[in-house]
Amino acid sequence: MKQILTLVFCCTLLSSVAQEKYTVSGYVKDAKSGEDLIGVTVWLPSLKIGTVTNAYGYYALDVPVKDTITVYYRYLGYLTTKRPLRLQSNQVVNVSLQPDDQTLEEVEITVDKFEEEINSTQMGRSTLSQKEIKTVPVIFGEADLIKVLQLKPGVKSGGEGSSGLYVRGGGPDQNLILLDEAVVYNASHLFGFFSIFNSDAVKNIDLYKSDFPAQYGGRLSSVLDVKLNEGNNKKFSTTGGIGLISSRLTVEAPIVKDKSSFILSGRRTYFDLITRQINRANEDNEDFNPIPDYFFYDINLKANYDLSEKDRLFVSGYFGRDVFKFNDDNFNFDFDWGNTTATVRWNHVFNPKLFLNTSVIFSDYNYQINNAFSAFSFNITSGVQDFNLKLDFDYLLNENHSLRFGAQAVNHQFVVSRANFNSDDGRVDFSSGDNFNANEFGLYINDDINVSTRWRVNTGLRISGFENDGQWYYGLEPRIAARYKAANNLSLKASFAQMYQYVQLITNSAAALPTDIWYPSNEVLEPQLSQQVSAGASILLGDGKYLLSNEYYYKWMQNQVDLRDGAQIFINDNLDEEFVFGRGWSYGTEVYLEKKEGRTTGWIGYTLSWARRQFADSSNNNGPINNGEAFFPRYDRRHDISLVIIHQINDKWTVSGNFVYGTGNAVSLPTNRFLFQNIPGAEPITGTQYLERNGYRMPEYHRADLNLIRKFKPRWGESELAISIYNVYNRRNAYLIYFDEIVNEATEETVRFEAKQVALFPILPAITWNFKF
Amino acid sequence: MPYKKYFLYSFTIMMSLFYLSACDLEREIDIDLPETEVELVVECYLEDGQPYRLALSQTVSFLEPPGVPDVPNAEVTITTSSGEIIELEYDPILDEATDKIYNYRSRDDQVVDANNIGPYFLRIFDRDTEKLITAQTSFLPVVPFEEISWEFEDVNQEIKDDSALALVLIRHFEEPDVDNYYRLLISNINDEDEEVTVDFNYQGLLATDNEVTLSTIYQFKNEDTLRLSLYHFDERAFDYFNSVEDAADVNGNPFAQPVPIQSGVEGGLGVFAALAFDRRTIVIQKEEDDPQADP
Repeated sequence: MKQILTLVFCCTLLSSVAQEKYTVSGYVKDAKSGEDLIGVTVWLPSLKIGTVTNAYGYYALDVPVKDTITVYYRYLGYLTTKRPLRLQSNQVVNVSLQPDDQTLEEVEITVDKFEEEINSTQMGRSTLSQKEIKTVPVIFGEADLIKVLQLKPGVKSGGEGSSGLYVRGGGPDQNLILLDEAVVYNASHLFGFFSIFNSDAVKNIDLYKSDFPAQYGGRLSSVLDVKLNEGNNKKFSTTGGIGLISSRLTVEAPIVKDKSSFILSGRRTYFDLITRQINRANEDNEDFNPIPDYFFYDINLKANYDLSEKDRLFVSGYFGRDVFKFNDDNFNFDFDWGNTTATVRWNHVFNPKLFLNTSVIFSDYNYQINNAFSAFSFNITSGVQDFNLKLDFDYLLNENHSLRFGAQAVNHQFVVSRANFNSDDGRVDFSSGDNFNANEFGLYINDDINVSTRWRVNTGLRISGFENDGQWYYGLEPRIAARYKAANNLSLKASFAQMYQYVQLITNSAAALPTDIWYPSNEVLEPQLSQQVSAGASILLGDGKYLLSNEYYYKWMQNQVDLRDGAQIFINDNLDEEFVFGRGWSYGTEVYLEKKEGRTTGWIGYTLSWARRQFADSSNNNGPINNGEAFFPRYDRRHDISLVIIHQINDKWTVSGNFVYGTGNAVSLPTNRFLFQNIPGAEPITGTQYLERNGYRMPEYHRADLNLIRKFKPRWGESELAISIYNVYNRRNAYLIYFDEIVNEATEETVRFEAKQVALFPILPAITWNFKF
Repeated sequence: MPYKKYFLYSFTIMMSLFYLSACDLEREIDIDLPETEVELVVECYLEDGQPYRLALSQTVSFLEPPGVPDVPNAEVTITTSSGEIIELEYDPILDEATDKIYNYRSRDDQVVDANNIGPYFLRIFDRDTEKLITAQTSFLPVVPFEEISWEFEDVNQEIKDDSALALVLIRHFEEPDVDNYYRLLISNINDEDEEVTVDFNYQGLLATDNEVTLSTIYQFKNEDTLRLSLYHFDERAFDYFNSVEDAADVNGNPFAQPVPIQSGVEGGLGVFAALAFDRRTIVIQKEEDDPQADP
C-alpha cells in the first residue's frame, strides 16, 4: 500500500513542474437535443494532448501558451467539430456536436472510433450505443440493454431469455447496477426475463468487468453505469413504440429553452389486458381456472436547470413495479415488487480545473405479498432502502495529469422477511422478521497520469467502511492500471483491483428471484472480498476500422455465502444460522473484434473461462455444500461465442443478426432413486438423490436471431417498423432436463424412467413499431 | 400509406413462422449417469399395536428399470428401552390395509406398545455388503386436535348450489419453548376410494397463544368423508420427510437448487420413527350450523 501512495505522490509532484498554461474547458452537447455527451474526445493534434468529457459532459484541458490552437471534438455517431482558438487566457468553450445524419461544411468526417480504447488505461469495459440497443435482435422484439450486454465477452445470462448478469464468474448480486447514480437492487421484470431499463430513456451505458475506477465500490464483479437522457432543451419531442409485449412513450421538451428541460418516459406491458378478456370469455365455464393478472411498468422522469454558467441542477427518478394479482370472492393474492430511485445532482465548476458533482440519492427495492383467504390474512415483505450522499471532484493538474477524488456515505435500511399472519377472530396473530439499519462509507482518489507518450498509469485507492449494529468493517481497495503504447495502434495493458461488498443477496434458488433477500454484513457474515488481475492488448487493424483486443483475467473471491441444505429463508428470525461460507475463483480469456464504422458494423467475441465455488467451512455447525468439494456454478461456461452484425442497406432498410454459441450450463441431476413408501395414509413418492451440485452439463447452446428494420419518414416525423425473429432456425435449446416416471394408466404401475429435455422458446417472430416526432 | 403494406407482409410472415414452429418443446434424451456407491435404505415406523416391521432396500441408478434392489440377507434387530431385543426376520409381505410393503418383520405376538415411549434402537447389518445402519427413536406425546371445523365458500356470499366447496380448519395445542414437528394428513375416503388431499409437514412456529391454527383451501364437497391424522415426531424424521419431498420437487424445477437427503439413520438413508398421532373422521355437511368433528 505504501508503494501505491508513494507513486501517487510522486506523480503529483512531477506534474507541478510545468510551464505557463491556459485552460480550455466547457461542456459538449448534442446540437439537436442539447443532451450532454459523455466520453467525447477533445484533442489537440498539434500538441498531441487530449482528454475526454466526464460523466456530466464537462472537460478541461491545460494547453501550453501558444498563439493559436485548433481543438477537435470527436464522438462516435457525431460529426467531428474543430475549433480554432486564439489563446490569451483561460477559455470556456461549450461545443454542440451535430449527429452524423447531417452534413455541414465545416466538419470533418474522419473519426478514429477506437482512440479512447488505445489511449486510456481502462480495461474490461464494454459500452453500448442507443443504435446497438435498438438494432440488435432480442426476444419478443423488446429492446433490452442487458440482453445486448450479454453478447459481449465475459458477460453471461443465467439462462434462456434471462436478463441476468453474470460477469467473469461473479454471482448475480455482485453487480453494482447504477441508474443515474442510484443503486438498482433488482434490475429485472417478470422473474428475470426483461430488464428495467427503458431503451428510449437511456443515454449512456458503461459496463466495467475489471479495472474498476475508484469511485465505484460495494460490489465484487462488475459495475453497470446507466445514465438517462436529460431531455431535449431545444424543442418538444415525442418518442414511442408499440411492441408485442409492451408499449413505450417518451415526452421531452424545454422548460426554458437552452436552459432547462425535462423528460418523462413510461412503459407498460399488456399481458393482463389479454388475460382478462380470456377470463371474461370463460366466466361460465366451470372447468376454467382464471388466469391471474400480471403486468409491469416503468416510469422515468428527469429535469435539469442551468442555474448559471458554473452551476447546473438535475433531478431524476425511476419508479417501476411488477404486479401479479389474483382476486375472487374468498381468495385475494397480490404480489408486487419493484424499484424506486431518485437522484438530485448539482454540478459546480469552481474554476476551469476543478469540477464538483454533488449527488443526493434515494434507492428502494422491496417486494410484498398480501394474501387474504377466508377469515385469514397473510403478508410478507422484504426490501432495502438507501439514502446516499456523494461528492465527486475532477481536478486537472495539467494536460497529462488529472485527479478524481470524492466521498460517499450511505444509510441502508433493510427489512428482512417481515411477515404477519392474522385472523379475524384474533386467534391467529403471528409476526416475524428483522429490521437492520447499517451505514456504509467510502473515500477515494484516482490519479491518471501520462508518464510519457508510451506509458500511462492510473492509480486509485478506495477506503471503505461499514457499520451494522456496532459491528465495524473497513476495507482498503487499491486499483491500479497501466498502459504501454507499443505503437500508435497497439496498447498493452494490465490492472489490479480489490473490491469489498458489504451487502449480499440471500437466495435459495438457482436463479435470481424477486423474493431473494438483501442482507447486510454483520458479526457472523463478513463482507465479501475479491481481487482481480487482468492483462491484455488492444490493437487497431484495417486503418483503424477494427479494434481487436484480448484480455486475460483471474479473480479470487473470499467470504462467499450460501445457504445450508434445507435452509428456510422465510419466517426465520435467525437467518444468520442458515449460512455456509466459502470461496470462489474464476479465470479466463476474452477475445473481441469490433467494427464501428461504415454500413456494416458489429462485433465477434469469444470467451474461454472457468468459474468455481467451494463451501467447505463448517465453523458455524452447518454442513458444507457439495460435501465441501468445489463445484461449477450454474453459469460457468467453458466456451462462449457471440457474433453481432448490423448492416445498413440504405437509408430505409437496416438488417441485423446475431449468433450465439455456448457450452451448456452446469446443472444438477438426480443420480439415484430409492424407495420411500411414506407413513401410513400418505402417498409413496420416488426418492430422489442428488449426489453432486451442478455435476452435469446441459447440451451446448446455440441460436441465431434476425432483425429487419424499415424506416419511414411521414410528414409528422419519423417511424420504423422492426420485424425480429428470435431463434431463426428453431433450435430446441435445453432449458431444463428432468427425469420422468412413466406410469401405465390402466395398471398404475411404473413402466420406466425417462430423461426429458425441455426447451423454452421455439422460433419467435415479433413486430415492433417505433415513432418519433 | 406504405408502412401499412409492410405491416401486412410482416404480420403474415410472423403468423406463418409461428405456426411452422410446432410447439413440441419437450423430448426424450439419453443421459449417462455416473456409477455411484449403492446405499442401504430403510423405512421403519413404530405404530402402536402393530408388529415391528420395516422395508429395507438399496438405492439404484435413476434411469434403471423400475423397482429397487431387495436386501434379503440382513440381520435386523430393534432393542427396547428395557433391553428386550426383537429380531426381525426376512419375510416380505404386502399390508393391504396401508398398501405398504415390508420385507422384515417381528413375530405376530411382538407388537409395539406406545406406552413404552422408548428409546428404541434399530440395528441393521447387511451380510452381503457388510454395511451397518443404526438409529434411535422415541414416542413423543400425542397432540390431539382441539378443533376441527369447516366453512363453505358461499357462507358470506351469494348462495351456490351443490358445487360450493368447503375448507377445513384445525387447531391444536403447541407446547411453548419446544421445537415440535408435525405432519397433517387429510384423506378423502368417499366410497371405497381413498385419496390423500392434504399432506403438510410443519414446525410449530406459527403458534399464537400456544395454539396452532391451520386451514386448507376450499376443496371439499358437501358429504365428503375425511380422515384427519395429526402426527407428532422428532426432528430427524421431520428433516427426512422434508428433504425427500423437497428433493423430489427439485426434479423439473429450473429455479430450485438440489436438495441432499437428510437421513434419519446412521450408515445409510432412511427413517426410524415412532409415530404418535391423533386421528379423527368427519363428514362435511353444508347444513350443519355449528360443525364439529366427532371424536
